[in-house]
Amino acid sequence: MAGVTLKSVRKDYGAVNAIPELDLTIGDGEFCVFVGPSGCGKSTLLRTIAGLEDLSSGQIVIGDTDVSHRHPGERGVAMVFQNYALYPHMNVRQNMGYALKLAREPKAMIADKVARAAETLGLVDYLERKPAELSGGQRQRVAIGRAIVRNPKVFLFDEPLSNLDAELRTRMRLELSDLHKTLGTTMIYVTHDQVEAMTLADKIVVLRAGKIEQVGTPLELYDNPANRFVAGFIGSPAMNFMSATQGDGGLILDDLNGAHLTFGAGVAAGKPVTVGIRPEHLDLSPEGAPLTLRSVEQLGGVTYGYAILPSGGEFCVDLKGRRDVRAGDTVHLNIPQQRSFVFDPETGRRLQ
Amino acid sequence: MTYKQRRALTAYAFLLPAILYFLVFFFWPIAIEFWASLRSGQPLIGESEFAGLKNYIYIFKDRLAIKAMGATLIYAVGSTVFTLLIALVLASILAGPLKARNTIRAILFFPYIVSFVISALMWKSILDPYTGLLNAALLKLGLPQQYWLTDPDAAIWVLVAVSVWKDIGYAVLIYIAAIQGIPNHLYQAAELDGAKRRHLFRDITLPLLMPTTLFLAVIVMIASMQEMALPYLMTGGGPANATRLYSLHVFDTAFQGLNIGYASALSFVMFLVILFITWAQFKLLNRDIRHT
Repeated sequence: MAGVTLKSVRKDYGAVNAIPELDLTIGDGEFCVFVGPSGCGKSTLLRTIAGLEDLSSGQIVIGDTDVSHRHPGERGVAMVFQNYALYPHMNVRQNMGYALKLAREPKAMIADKVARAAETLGLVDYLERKPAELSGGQRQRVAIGRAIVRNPKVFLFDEPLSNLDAELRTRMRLELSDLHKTLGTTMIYVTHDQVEAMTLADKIVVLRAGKIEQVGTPLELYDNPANRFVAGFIGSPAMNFMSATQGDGGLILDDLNGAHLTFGAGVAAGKPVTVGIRPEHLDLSPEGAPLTLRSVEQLGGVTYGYAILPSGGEFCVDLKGRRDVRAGDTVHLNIPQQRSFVFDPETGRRLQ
Repeated sequence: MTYKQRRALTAYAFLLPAILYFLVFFFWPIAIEFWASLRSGQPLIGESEFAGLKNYIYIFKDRLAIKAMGATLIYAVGSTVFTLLIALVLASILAGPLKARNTIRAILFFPYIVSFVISALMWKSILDPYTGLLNAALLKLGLPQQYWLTDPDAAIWVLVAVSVWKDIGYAVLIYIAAIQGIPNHLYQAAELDGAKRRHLFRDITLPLLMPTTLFLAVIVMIASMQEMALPYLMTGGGPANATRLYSLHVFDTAFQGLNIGYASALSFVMFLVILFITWAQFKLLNRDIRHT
């Protein structure tokens, strides 16, 4: 087991800079999730740690060893790919034992390690099958098994669940979480699915355009986002953002019929700001600002109402449980100060 | 008529031209040939009578036929093995990020599009013991001149070399396409498993190329077993019948000796031999590889 330290890591593709200099420390045994929108550089970063991409500059340290320029097979990492990357001509047993065979481990030892991994992952009955004869979930288990048998210092997962259906994804998510608890090995996991990030991670790294926007535990990011990007990315449904300006003794929500908020005292008078509030933190109150709903989603246990704000942004309200509300109805909202955030509309930086 | 029946009928209607083509130009001649092989005299072109298996039994007594079969097997196996081996090595290099790869590919493919007659005559002139370029070069280097096409031990291998030169471009092209079709993530997974370059080739490239190798082995083998133009143009079957390939023997028997019935039996035997070799290649090389 080992932690991972990235020091001034930079990755260029010719003249294109994918990752500007980036520093990050992942603790020993930590489950760290890289999250961000498509093209943010999260997979590139993972593949650079794996050694599948050359480092342009900087240093990657795993445990106490600088692996920056080592062959991928000599870094002590194992990777699970999005499309499994199982060897199609080898059966499950051969797929799982291939790394050990290359390492010239004794045959009995290989058989034993493969058997134990197969037992853990419920693959005992499939050892003689070829990947094409397995379901998506089984293939993913084989890919995980192939990583486990090597007993790596660090596991790398590149969107491993995105090819699975919703039900299987949930199940595999729980299994991965259990696996991390059992093995206690450092895991780095790339996803664009923030539910996976929130449920699996000890630490989330939010990336945008190759830069780290914020690092923290899932709840830290949820409760205390550093900027508008993180605030909008973490949480489902996403946070609502409204235009506001500083008025007398508080903020005036231009986007919500000029509703008056009693907070935002530190903001300069007349300065436009963006106010953020999560759908689940809005209070329904007859005295609140009116909002006419464009559509309503009834999910059984929860009801979401949607509206379009005058500034063009979408607005979502958690209507708290099951409610008889339809599109076209008007709801009245109260925006609690302690749950709201104020952002600079230009830089996205959080002001309050 | 149900929808299913209509679909089947439409499919057969589209297949009909191909079926007719194969019936008229392939299966009918095979049937005629088999009929002719059971007759003595001059079936197809003149008087003939039923001879049973006499023609087939005579093959075993025909030393020239047996020698031709031996030479053909050496030629076919030699051409196939060397073409595939060299093509595999070249394709592995040319599939990579090599600067001049397109030029090299074009140069390699060039012999394949040159007429067989031209390339055979060109090589005949290059290999001429007295006026050929190759011996001139050997002499310049102080090496003894060689009797490439008149030495009975060397001649068959010279034909093999020319055949490899001729076919290599095609095999390289097919191998390059197959290598480029192997998903890159398999190599990356193997690298993470600790595979070095030689392991990647041995454990990923080579096994995943098996279907391509089978295809090329069958194609090159069948073409080589049927080869006639090369010995006909370069050696005339000599020296001492060393390059008298089977098809040349059949050709001589049919059109020089006008022994049509016997030539048909010889052809039919070759048909069965090729069928058997192709079956054996499938048994030996066929791998079920399905990408997921």
